[in-house]
Amino acid sequence: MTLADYEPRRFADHPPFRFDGYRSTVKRAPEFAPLPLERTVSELTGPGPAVSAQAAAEIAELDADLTRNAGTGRGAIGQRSIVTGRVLDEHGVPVPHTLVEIWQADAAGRYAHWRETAFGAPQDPNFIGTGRCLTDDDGIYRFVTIKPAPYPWGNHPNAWRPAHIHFSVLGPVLATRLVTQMYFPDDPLFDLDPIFQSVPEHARHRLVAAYDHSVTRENWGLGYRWDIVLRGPAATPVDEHDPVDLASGAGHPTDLAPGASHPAEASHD
Amino acid sequence: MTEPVSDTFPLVVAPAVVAPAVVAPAVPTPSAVGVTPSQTVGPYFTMRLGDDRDRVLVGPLSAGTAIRLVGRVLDGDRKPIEDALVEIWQADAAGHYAHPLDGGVDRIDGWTGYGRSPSGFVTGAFSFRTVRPGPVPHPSGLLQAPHLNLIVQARGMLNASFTRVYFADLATFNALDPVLAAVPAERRSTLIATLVDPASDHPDRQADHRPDGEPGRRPSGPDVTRSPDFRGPPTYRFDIRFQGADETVFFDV
Repeated sequence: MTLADYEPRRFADHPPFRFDGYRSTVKRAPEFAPLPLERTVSELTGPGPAVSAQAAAEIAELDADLTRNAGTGRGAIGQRSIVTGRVLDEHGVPVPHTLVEIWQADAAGRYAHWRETAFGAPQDPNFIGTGRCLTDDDGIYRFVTIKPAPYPWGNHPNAWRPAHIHFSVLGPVLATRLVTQMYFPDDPLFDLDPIFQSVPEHARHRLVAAYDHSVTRENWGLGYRWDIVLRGPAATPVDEHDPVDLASGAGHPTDLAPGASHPAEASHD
Repeated sequence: MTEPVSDTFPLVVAPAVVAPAVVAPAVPTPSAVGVTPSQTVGPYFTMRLGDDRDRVLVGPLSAGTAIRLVGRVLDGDRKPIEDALVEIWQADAAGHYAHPLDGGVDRIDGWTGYGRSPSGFVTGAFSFRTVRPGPVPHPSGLLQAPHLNLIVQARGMLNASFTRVYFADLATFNALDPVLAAVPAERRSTLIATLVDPASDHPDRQADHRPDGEPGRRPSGPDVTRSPDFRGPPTYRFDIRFQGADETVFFDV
């Protein structure tokens, strides 16, 4: 058994625990800094492989199609969309056969959840808003869904969340566990949303999918591309004269997608 | 992937960590890509992550001592957080993780060592049925005391928090555990689950319901936990506290 150590958690690329603009963090953020830990077999293994293998036995293609998986025989209402991308580690190595799970609001901004009561928009009876799939040999996941709508959330006066899809990925080891949100390009609510703004500026674009016309399907729906980048195994030094900026998104694959534009990151670090 | 890595970007070291000088790995030759930032799990994760089956790790073929783990997630005012997601990852009774680098996957007993439980809407309680894990190795050559690895997320938490659950009745093991030894002595007790006295009001009565408290989903029929003869498996209580001097120890996993 050979355990690979992992790169350190890059706190500078994540939101702070406490972000006062997002009010609920004030009483729920830890106050002590997380204690350093020499990672052991407990952290350098994790549930991803076993859970993904189990899911592989029971997962159906329909699980990744949110326009149909309500099982009502009628399609979900909304802008039909294909959301696809790769799960990679921070060295760009694909993470194959790993479970990706999503949940989202419908085209009117409602979640099909029993706690969803505050927002009186109509609910789509043909949409359950949740899906799952496994990445393929190349680390590619693919969902068919409808674009969710923004919705109000009461954090502050006239507070609206930008349209987003929740993503959950376990990854290869405990240390790679990631829950995050994918946003759609050019949302006017980005500047007004404290949850999005809590992410350090240089890393925000990593949460925004790129419109990708090569994914768009003629006469059917629009295509979006978004890569998920997990922590990776600690790199093996090979050439000390060739340092790589691992803390920024330089070379991020979505940078190459049509329509993607953001300021050069190095200036924000 | 094929974009050449520019050598004009400076090495950036995250201020919160001591990062070694990192250079490109040998094979394959990847672009260095920025990690995806964390975002809150929000209040609606049970749409996807809240299946009742996920709270039960044990099956009919599971070896070891069956246990129950219950607890609450408490905020800075010590109010129960009623919409938290609690996940556990643990070794089996023999001290092996169901992972390719240890005990392997696709086990015949269906064991994954992974569970997830929402905290209850009314009580803030989470619960798991599992087995007590065996001790696992530590890089120092010592053994680690039996423990569960636990992740907490919730609305209002922009990042996951990682902690460990040790067992109060394994004090001899705990005294030798190298991870516990590195925790300041006055905070160690936050990592120890206490054994619940079965003669007291059984925590099953509070916690063994559908944890997100969805109305109308509670199983019907007689409540066996109300019977004076009811003896469930040994039950441990582990409350997770955010903020304050007695905040649960969280680790930089």
